Amino acid sequence: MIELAIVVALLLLGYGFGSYRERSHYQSIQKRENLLSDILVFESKYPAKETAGHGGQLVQGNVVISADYFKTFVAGLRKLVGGRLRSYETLLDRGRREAVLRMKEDAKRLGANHIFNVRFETASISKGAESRLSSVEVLVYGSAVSR
Amino acid sequence: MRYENHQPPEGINVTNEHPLKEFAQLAVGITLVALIAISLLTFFAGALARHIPFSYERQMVASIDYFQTDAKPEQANEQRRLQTLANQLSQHMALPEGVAVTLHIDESDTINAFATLGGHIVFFQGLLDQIESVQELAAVMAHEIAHVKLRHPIVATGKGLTLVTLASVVSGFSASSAGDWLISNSINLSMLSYSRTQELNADAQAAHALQQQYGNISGAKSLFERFAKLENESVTSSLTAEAFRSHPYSEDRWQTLQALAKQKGWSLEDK
Repeated sequence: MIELAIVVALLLLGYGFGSYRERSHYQSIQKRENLLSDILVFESKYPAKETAGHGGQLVQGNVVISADYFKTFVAGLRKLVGGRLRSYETLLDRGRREAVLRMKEDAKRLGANHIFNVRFETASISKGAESRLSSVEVLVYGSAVSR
Repeated sequence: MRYENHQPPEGINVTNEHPLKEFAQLAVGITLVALIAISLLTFFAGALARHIPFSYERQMVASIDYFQTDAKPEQANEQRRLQTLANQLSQHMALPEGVAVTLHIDESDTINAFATLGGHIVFFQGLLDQIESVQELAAVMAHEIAHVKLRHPIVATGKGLTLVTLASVVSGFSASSAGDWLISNSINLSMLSYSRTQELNADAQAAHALQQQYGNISGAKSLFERFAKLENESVTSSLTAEAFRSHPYSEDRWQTLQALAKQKGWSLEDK
């Protein structure tokens, strides 16, 4: 019975804090995406001809983000039956967008306004069953130039 | 060529579905499936376990020291007395061919007695101290012999091992703590429900043997009345007897037994 109470308490805490954090993070992401919308990012390897100077500088953004108990619990149930891991989709979406924003801030500091050759890397920090709370690292990098 | 970025609209990579909706669907669905699987598996495991020969059951526990050590000299008489009573009662219980009980005394002060694999029945000194008459002793004894007769220990073991296997198979597949947790809790729930039925069956068999031996079931009556009282007191006092955890609902069981006694015309009083 005490075990059940602990699990329910952890679920409530995880859901409460997790969804509060997620809401405020999304608000912050949307606000900063608008602020930094003048810095453009491209997947193309080759900078535009009209940029001032080629072979720009490496800029990068890096973020580590963790699931909460509620997300992990729901994902654990989901793994038994299969389907979209919705509870982790928001986690990765937030991770990617936050990493891009940090890279853009890096570029802004350098006075650049275009980033070419943008690449994403995603890694799970907690692989295996030992630590069961999953966290994810997203690294994004590219070449910053100005025009 | 124009270079520009635009923000993709929200809701492409993530859904707007409320996270609690998914949680509720998964929790309810998986619990239902787990309960159905568990009840089917335990049903078949129990049905099959009944057919394991008693001699195999004895071999399973033959190497356990607890059942091998001879009684200490000061307990030898008491143990012989219990064994004699068990043999008398067994004659009225139509034990299947080859099934026999062996009595043991455990000197700890736990208030309980139990029957386990191989027809071994253990009385704790704590219970023997509580018992006031031979008829009460016979009531407990007949109850434990009934468990052996009805093959409850091997059925419980068969069910338990099946569930342990299920749990390890599922946790091996899913590597999910949430799944483990749900399944282990469903297992606890199903354990509770079958042991109650088994207790009621054992009570009925025991009462039949008491009636045959003594012409009344007064031993069961005084035992149940005392234990129902102790059980009520244990809610408010610090007294906790092991027996209440493994044999709950004294009041409820006594009601059931009284109804049976009335139907069969058994006497509740010692004339």
